[in-house]
Amino acid sequence: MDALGPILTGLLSALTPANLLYVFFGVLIGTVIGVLPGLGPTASIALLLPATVGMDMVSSLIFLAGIYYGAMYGGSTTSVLVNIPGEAASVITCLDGYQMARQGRAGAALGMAAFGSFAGGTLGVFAVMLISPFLAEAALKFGPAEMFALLFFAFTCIGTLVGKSVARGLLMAILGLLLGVVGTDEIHGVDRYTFGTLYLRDGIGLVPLAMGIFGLGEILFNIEQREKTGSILKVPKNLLPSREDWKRSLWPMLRGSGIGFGIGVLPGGMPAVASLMSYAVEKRVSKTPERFGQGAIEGVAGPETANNAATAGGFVPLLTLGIPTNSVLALLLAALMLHGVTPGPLLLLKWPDVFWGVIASMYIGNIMLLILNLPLIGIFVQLLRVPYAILSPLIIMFVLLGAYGLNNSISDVFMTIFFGILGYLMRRFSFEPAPLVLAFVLGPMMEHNLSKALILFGTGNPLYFFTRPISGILLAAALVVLFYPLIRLLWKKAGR
Amino acid sequence: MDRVDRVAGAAALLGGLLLAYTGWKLDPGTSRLPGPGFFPLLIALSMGGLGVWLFLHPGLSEKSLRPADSRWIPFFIALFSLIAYAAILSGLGYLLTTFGLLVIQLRWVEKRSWITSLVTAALAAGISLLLFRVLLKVPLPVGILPLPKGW
Repeated sequence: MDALGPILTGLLSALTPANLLYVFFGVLIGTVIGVLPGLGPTASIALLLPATVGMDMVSSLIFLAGIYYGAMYGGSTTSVLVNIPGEAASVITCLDGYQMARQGRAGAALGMAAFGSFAGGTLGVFAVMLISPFLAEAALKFGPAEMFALLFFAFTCIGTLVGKSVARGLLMAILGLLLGVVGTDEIHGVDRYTFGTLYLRDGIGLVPLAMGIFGLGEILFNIEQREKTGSILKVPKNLLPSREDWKRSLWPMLRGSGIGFGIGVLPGGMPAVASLMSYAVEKRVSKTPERFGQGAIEGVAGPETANNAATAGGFVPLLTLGIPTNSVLALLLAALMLHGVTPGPLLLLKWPDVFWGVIASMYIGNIMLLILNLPLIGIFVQLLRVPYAILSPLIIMFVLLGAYGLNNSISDVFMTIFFGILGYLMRRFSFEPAPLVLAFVLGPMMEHNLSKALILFGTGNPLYFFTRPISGILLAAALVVLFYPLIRLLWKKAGR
Repeated sequence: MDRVDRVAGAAALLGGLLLAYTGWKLDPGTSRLPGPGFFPLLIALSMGGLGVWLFLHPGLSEKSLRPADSRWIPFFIALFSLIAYAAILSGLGYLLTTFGLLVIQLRWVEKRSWITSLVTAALAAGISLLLFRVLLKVPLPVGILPLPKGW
């Protein structure tokens, strides 16, 4: 009963009328964002973050988390009906989902995407609930050396696993570290890279950075390279998959849950990577791999389950270690900090209502999404009929308004525009923006723990990190992650 | 792709050198007692090293999608209107500046008709002012246009 106590507290906290309303609005906004191409969950959460300052801490997290997993649900709709992914995580759903729709099986594809998302989300949240307390307890034993090693491991994973090119990913991550250094150094009280301005003394804000890179950057890119959208296929009345569809999808959904959760827990394990991995596995284990790309329902069920399980999995390192594994979770970390909560192993002890409230709200949110998505899919699709030409200026207005509203400062607006231009350039030249944002968040924590560990050791020998078991293993793992692509390249060259 | 990697590599190398200099000036301290320049110096070394690698080994990554036809004129109109917006927001006020920005975006960037542009811009600027300034009490700049009492 003792173990159930906090869970019940969380459930009760999530079930208050106000929080149920926040879950509802969160998942509704998330679904809309997921359906609309061009505005991702990162930019949207960045935009809405200032509005949550006045909210109760649990409510604001419930609301923002709802947007995140709601977007994962909504992203599949456009993939199936228009062949345009609403979200990066739904790119792979286009392959078979759109083909199914063209064959008149849009209902089964949309239905299975919704059921798969529900299964992945629910199983993922269940795993979060089981694993998190143990991980948090283990993390309590971490000193600054172990924390630095863990953060460095996360940094290498983010830099090397996200995006198509390792070197470019790492370069963006290093740029993120550099941006994180700007401001007054908290240990020595020295201004660094502030160019004599008062504004930069507090450091660069995560919200202008995220809104600029993910919001304005995306819009500027779309203005420069407008793609013609395809015609929207009709939404069928019956969204229930057949018995045969269920038979084919059951194992992909189970495998997708495992793959998605496992990837989501890893730093850099974005939902998009999980869906891609699930698709690859399903194709490999299938007895008829030639059906993939031609309208195989397994190609919808697996990836859609995996991306939602990954979304849930990302909450494990965020809530227990204070480490965000993707840019959306970095903003949720900022939301926690805005309310004076320091995420990490102590979160479960000090703020159990926050932890369990968010977990319980995710169960409720998943049920709401299933109820919302199946009957209302036709209405969501109508949103696609609003021309992007009208939508884009309105998004720009909200981004600028959100930037100003942060601190009622024009400097924040300029900063958002600056990062918008940077975000555009990154997209234009195929540099992945996520490592920059994540390293920007991890950087100050890395520096703080590194300095603390070096001062505490007092040996002056950085190799001392390797003499401590946990930090040694984590640093060794980080070096493997970092140099594996190089070793593989040299191996390939030697083999030629 | 190769050219982009080379340019990025050269920029990273230069940036790394500049950062190393500034990190040194900030006082890196020692590994026993790190100073404020210690971490920037580590970043500089990583950035410079990676820059050299990227410059010498460009194009190792997969080929990215080649950009389609670019719409440069609408892009630059959008970009400069954003910068102008931030520059004149305080002076002209939220309502006028936002209306102007939206008209420019709708009429010249998105090529909508005059009627659509003017009506959409007026509605969006007005409703957002009402929502944020009046309801959410965000002190948006008033500027030269007088607003009703209580707004």
